[in-house]
Amino acid sequence: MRASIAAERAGIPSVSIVCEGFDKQARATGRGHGFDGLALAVLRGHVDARTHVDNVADLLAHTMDEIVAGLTHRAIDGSPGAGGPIEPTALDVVASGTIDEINRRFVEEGWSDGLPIIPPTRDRVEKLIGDSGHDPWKTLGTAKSSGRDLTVWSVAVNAVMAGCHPDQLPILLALTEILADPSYGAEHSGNTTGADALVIFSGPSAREFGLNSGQGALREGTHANTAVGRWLRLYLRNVYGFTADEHDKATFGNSARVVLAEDWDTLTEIGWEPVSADFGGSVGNDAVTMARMNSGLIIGSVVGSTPEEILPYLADGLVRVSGWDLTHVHGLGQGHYRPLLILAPVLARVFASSGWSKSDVGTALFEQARLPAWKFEKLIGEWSRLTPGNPRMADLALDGHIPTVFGTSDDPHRLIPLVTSPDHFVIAVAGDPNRTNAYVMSNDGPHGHWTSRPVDRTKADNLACRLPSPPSSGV
Amino acid sequence: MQVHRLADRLDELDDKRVAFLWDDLFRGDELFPVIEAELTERFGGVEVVGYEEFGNTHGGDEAEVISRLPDRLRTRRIDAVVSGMGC
Repeated sequence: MRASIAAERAGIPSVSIVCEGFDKQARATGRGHGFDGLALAVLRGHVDARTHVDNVADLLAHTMDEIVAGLTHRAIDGSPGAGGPIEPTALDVVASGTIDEINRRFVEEGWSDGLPIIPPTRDRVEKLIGDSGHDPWKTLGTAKSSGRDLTVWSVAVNAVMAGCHPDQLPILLALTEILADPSYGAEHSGNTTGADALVIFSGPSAREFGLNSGQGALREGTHANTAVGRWLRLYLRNVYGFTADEHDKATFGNSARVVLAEDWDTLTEIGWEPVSADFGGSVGNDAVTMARMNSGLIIGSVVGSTPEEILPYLADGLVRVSGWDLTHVHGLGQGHYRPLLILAPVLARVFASSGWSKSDVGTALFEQARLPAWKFEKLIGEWSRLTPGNPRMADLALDGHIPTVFGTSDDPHRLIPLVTSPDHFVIAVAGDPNRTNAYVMSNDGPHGHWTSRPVDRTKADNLACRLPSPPSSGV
Repeated sequence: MQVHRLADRLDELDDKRVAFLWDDLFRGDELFPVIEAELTERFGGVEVVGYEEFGNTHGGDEAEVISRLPDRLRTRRIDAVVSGMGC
């Protein structure tokens, strides 16, 4: 849809071909960019579940007429649409009553994640912003999907709903900056494969924020980890519009992911840099790093007292968690595949005690986490159709699309790496300090690419105005 | 949010230059040729500019490709756009 929107913006009529079931998302995307009523031509069913003959027959019987109609006066009068339903302004009271009545209303309206929320009364929202110094109407960006402004106020409204505390506001604002960063690609957060964002907190203040980095990491139960993770999902629903009625086309989603906090004490002890440093963060400062992740896999009960003994477990896990997502090496992405490896502290210490840096671990995994070229080609080509033309890795390397290591020979059984560079393995340290377990996750490439921002707790000086003087858009 | 007016539609597609835009997904390489053949058959003098001219509209280079699109469409004197595949 974004390509069609660019054409319309240039004054050129467009029609977008979508598969059945994508019309709601397509229209919502158009509305979000201010182009209500974009022309669609719908293919029946899904092209990958039908034969070529059936696809062509339906195209000729139905879709061609819609293509022609969409480009000519026959279908559209060119007048601007209403832009969707009228939305309440920021200070409107949208519900009143008992806590039960309000929660029922929020569920009915699709404003909650299905769990009870704390009603975002004006008083609570103002208290959450508190004396942070932030102008409530400061805009951190625009949600590309819905066109809504990313205001401090909307951050705080959803923070109240999620049960966040005022001292967590700097984390939420940093995450909002990531969402607003074009390189993150927040507009893809409703794609069909259903990845969900994982937030990693790195820095010396994890404990001060009440974040758990130890036993039970990635499990709900610690307030700060859980509430911040819930806020992100609510923000994506209510501000970005990632609901089934609008922009969310997840076939299978993941639950809201709780925040993963890195074990700062262990990182400091062994001299490893945090994840945030991989993405431009300063070591020693608090930061959040975020990416949308697909599959996850536990590597249980690793046995070994040397790096050489441990590495095969980790390499095997990384290979097993990587499937269609390898199309982010070439195809959907280009060098964007950057899977995550979370090491329990006891495993990280095995490496560190042998003098290994994180970079050394990445280099070793680059050598060992490999799969046969024929399988790589099947995964990104024939088995997913996400990379057109069923390319051979050797040809792609020869043409300079991927590093030469992918094309050292024509042998389909040669082993090739999962990523285009050893430093593309993202390595975090967290979890039960005394168990020899690890966790791996595949990422969704440019559909939520690894992006980091500092968490700034200093009092802001951008308070230009105080309530009430909201702009006219959004919750 | 600013609401924009859609581009004016065409009266007919005869003698028009139509650009195909593709996100490199969902069998566009199989279906766009069929669309081209059908447009050519239905409308006299229609000319199709293939998706190869504009780059992959999705994925790693998406932002750059989309930002260049208006200029590229104008430079090639495109009258209408068919974009796919959203599946």
